[in-house]
Amino acid sequence: MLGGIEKTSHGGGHSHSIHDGGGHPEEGGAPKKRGIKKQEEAGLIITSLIDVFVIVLVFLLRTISAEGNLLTSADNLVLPMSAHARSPTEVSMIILGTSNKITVDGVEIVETSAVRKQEPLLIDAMAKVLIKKHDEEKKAEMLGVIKDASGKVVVQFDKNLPYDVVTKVMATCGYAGYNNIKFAVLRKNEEG
Amino acid sequence: MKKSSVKEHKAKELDLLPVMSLFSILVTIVITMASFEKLGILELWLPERSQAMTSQSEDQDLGLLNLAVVITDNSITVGASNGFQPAVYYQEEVQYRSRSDQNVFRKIYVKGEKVYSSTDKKLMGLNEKELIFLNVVVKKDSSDPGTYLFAAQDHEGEPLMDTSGNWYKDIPPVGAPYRAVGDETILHMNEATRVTCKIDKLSAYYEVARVLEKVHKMYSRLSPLPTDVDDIVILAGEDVIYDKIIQMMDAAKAAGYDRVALSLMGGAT
Repeated sequence: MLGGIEKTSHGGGHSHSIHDGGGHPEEGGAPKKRGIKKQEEAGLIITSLIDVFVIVLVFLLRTISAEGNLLTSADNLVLPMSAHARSPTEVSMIILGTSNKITVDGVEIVETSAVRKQEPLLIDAMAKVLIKKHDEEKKAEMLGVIKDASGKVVVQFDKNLPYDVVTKVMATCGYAGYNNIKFAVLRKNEEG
Repeated sequence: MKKSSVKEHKAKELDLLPVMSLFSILVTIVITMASFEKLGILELWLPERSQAMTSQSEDQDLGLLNLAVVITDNSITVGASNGFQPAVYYQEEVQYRSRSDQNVFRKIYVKGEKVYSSTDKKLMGLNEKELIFLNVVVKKDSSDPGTYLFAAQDHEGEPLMDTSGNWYKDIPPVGAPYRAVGDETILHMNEATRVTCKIDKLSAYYEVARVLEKVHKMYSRLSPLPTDVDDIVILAGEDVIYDKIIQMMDAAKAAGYDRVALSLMGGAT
């Protein structure tokens, strides 16, 4: 609190008075005696801040999806937009295709340029990984860990990727038993 | 009567600081959890018949529509077992957003041409392509440079159709009926909507969706109904970018085709 109230300095261990607008006693000259007015504590007006917070909170709660984030967009990837996309449901595996590399569940498998250059439809390195994963899923289904291993896969491709790469990835997925292919897109509207 | 001493009470203010703290924590949590872009999925339909065609399956093909959309570098063509519709020619225009200074500009796409920002002259990367427009061009043949096709569009850029399924070339007058492609609801133009409408270049996706919608309606009235009336195959070349495939899938779904399959031109699904 400021204004005519005695303040104690913590560091120095001595105290001095801060006078309202007057000269400091140590600056020379006799200190003027002034009428010290009793001032009320300057409180922070929190009500308006609360209003702001309530508005921000309501806005955020409207923005946030109650469905949860089953899909998250990857870095360095621009997804195409679609007005007829549905909400993502169960996702067992995610394949990412950027202009640099192709990854399966976050593990880099092959460079996109190498896929572009190759003649055959099948991407060998990717097929090995996918077959292994599909076998694991089948075993997990038999053990009752997962409900079904129907080969669901969500692919996130950069919108500027050539169709050649897309078809090669899709063909490899189909070869490994992942026939239920879904494309991840950005939804243009809310109702999807 | 006793004279009761009336004490002056000051109204006690509610201590809002703990509420503020609670709100601060809540807002922080919600911000970390919020997703500002909505991700969705587009389902792909895979035809069951993937093995070599037998004579029996060829016979079964006779009653099928076999609708396909062929995307090339400069045109989109709708075809079926009975023949092909006239090609919809387009010119590709790309809207770039520079990452360095957020400069937004549009440029006609020319294959292999390097594009530089109009402000800092930096080379634009693939990730700086913000939007890709395929503007319909009316041509006599593939050698003709052609002219753009314009149509009345609403504030979201959706072109407006009249009741007979043709585009409005001018903004429809107040009271005129209109609808969007793929939407059967007939609306009537009012003053407020009319103000927000504009005349702009027509997108090839909308034009193809209009053609597909007509084909879908025509075949949906047939008896017996073709078993593949809701099926469509999108054929594209190796160099066609993925965005065009997704936009075409969107257009097909808008036209009523629920089962969209993909195929590589000259290859297998």
